[in-house]
Amino acid sequence: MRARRKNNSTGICDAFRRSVGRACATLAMLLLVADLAIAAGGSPQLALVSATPYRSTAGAVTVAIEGNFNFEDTVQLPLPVEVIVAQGARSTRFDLAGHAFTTIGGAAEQPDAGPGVIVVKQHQMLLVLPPGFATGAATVQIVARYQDDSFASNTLEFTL
Amino acid sequence: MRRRLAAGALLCCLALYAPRVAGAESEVFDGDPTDPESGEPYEILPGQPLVKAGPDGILGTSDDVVDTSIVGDIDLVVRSGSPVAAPAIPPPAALGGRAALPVGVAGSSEGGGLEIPFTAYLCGSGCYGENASAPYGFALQTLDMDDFPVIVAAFADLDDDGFIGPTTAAALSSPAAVSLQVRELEPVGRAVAHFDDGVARGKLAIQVGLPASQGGLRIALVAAASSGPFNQGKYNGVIGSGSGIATALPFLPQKDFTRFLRATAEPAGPDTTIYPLIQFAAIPALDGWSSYALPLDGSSPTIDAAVVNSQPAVRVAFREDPGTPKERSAAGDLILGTSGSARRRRLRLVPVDRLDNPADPAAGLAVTVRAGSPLRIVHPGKGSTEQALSLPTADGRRVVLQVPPGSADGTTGLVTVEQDGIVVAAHPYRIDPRVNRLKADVVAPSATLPTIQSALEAATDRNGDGLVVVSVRPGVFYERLVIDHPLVLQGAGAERTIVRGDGTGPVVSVVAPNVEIRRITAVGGTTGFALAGPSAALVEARAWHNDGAGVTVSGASASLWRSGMIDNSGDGLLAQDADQLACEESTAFLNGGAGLRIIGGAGGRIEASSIASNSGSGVVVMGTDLQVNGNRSIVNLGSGMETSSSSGAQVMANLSATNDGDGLHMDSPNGDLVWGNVLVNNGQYGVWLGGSMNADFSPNPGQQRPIGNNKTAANGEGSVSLPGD
Repeated sequence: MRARRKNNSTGICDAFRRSVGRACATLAMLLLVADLAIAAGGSPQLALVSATPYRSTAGAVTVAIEGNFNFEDTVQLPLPVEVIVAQGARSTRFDLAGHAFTTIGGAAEQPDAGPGVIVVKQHQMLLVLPPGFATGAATVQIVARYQDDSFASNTLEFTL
Repeated sequence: MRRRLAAGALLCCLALYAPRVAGAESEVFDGDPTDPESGEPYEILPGQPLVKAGPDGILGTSDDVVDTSIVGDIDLVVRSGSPVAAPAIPPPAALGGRAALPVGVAGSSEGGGLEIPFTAYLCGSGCYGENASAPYGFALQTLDMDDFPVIVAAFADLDDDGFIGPTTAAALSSPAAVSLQVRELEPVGRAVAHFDDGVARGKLAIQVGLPASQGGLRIALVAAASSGPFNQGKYNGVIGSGSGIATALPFLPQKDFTRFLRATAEPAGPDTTIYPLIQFAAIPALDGWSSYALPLDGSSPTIDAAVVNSQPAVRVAFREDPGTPKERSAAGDLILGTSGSARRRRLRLVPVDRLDNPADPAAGLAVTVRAGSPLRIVHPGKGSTEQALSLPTADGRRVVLQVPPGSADGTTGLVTVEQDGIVVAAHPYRIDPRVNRLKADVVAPSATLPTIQSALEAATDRNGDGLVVVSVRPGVFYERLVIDHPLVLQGAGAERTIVRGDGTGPVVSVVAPNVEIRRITAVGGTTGFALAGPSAALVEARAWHNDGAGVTVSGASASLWRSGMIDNSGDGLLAQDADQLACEESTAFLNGGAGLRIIGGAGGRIEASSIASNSGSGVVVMGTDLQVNGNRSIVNLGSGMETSSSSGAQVMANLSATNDGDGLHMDSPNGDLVWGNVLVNNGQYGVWLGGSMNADFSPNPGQQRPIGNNKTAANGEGSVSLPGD
């Protein structure tokens, strides 16, 4: 259980302004809920089942990935899901707001022009690779850093 | 600080006062009727009568006990926007009409959206209509729910009729509209906030929206909370086990949270993941004692409304184009037939935002649609494989694809849409005669055949084509069906033709041989489809939210193709002693048991199916010569795949990933072949073998050396566990 720190306090006056009966109920509850439990959540469940590339007539590559990435939490709540596509020393990280960043050989990330991720649906994302990825083997993985823990899907191999 | 003060107060008052009401958890329940059996306050929606589960112990079934002498009061109120802090609860923003509603943008602010602020109020006795100076009552400034969570959820008015959920008016005037209204019962946003002095404030991101040029999409805000205590033994201690309170809801809510809480449920707050805890126990019946439909005009005092616009368009996407804009849903797989209208697919290409919502396009939006041969674009244009289109408005353009005569069964290809030099939509297509439309002998309902069952009983082969075909119109039909002679029962699409059972038995029982059921959803039964007759077939059908298995099979040679088993409380598919079962290209999601389970029987196969998020294992097989090939089993609570005392099974080319248990769990295999599987990121072992080593892990018989040519990686406890480990 995770304790939640309250930022505000109504102080002694407020506390005693309320009825004794109310205080009784409050304290009974606090004793029962020793460390406050709060509704129900769960760890992100990230998994990939397919990655399919589509090349435009101009040569740009769009990749459709399918899997599970807590869609509702991702789009309704700030679960920071990201997608990483890698090929050799090149690795591009996509966030779901359309930003993409590439690193080569572990060097500092450089922002790409985009458009990055262009679709986020229940079990599917569509992302556009920046220039530099070549025909051949690549991998894709979904990752999220959530409440100080890192979560990652399986690494899926596919062919560009 | 407050807790210490309160603790001090408790020590004083415990000696002075006995509890005011035995079992009452909070002051919010003061004056509420109490269940004499439990001593707890009844859980009743405001304005609705008391509903208790009947002898079956399940809410939402026909044996529910309704006590109209006890009607729910108001304990909880939610308002959209950020009203100023004041003792009086403000009126709903919805009272001011659409123009007065807070406006958000689809998605969270991190993803380019704009959340809807909300404020939830606890409300004690005399909350509504009892004080002229505060028509909506006063917030109950009680400490006893401080820090308790309130879940606020949003539901979308997809048909823009001013209500959330099925309405009697729609049922009378346009039964087809009711199936769209059923889709309104799925939450489109939810958030958690915490009470502080009886008030909780937060913000709610909504995943859907409509173009601002079309006025956006209206949503309703509702709320629910539970009181304590929090017991580790119940719901993992993350949901209070005391009585719940709620605003008006568009349905009788599901109270058995074990249906969708995973064993790993954790505490949730405003910045964490949240389970969709506000779900329906049953699709509301429209001929019953009450309506749950939520009005969006401010007349329901506990709820409120808002408007959500879509984000700016970033691309285009295909939509189904059934005729009315409200019914447009994302285009499904492109499976085209070989005859009649099934050779054509009428779609609509619309600008969409990043979340796939219809959106206002930027000026000059133009795209090129390409259809791989032999498919042709017959509108616009006259049968080309490439068509340039401009899309000046959010309404988009109609695109009709057609298979030329003589195209071979099994042909595959690709339809793409390019915009600004990139592929923004890609749809593989396939030609398959199984989607050919059959000529109806009887259409139901009609003036002479008012129910589907009456049509089933009256149907004969009127057109002499050798088949008895009963077609069912779009709509929601409150029936249980028994099919006792060979025929085809054909709906208008699983999302459009819905048969809703009463919870007392299967929604559709097949007892005759050679019965085929197409494009129908069965919901609200003890099982959706009970296939007892031999050679029964489900084609593009869906078993949804039944209180047992989604589909049961006991007859031989049954088949499921492109069918879904979703959110049933038992297994998705349960086949028992059913020889030669074929389950292909189907899905099993969010079921309370296994996704797909075959017990006994010989020669069955599960192929190219997707199995995910089930509370048991993804696939469980126990029988002779069973084949489990080319499936994808992910994020199940048990193992991805499980064989038990199987003989001669083939488990080949499957992906089993991120399951809580093993990737492949084999208990006492007997001559099984396990080859070419990817078993990764599972909580326990990639492969777990127990009781026997009699399995081959290579296409070369006799090579019993795990892992063979299967791939394992990143499994929590290791790649393989052998007997005796």
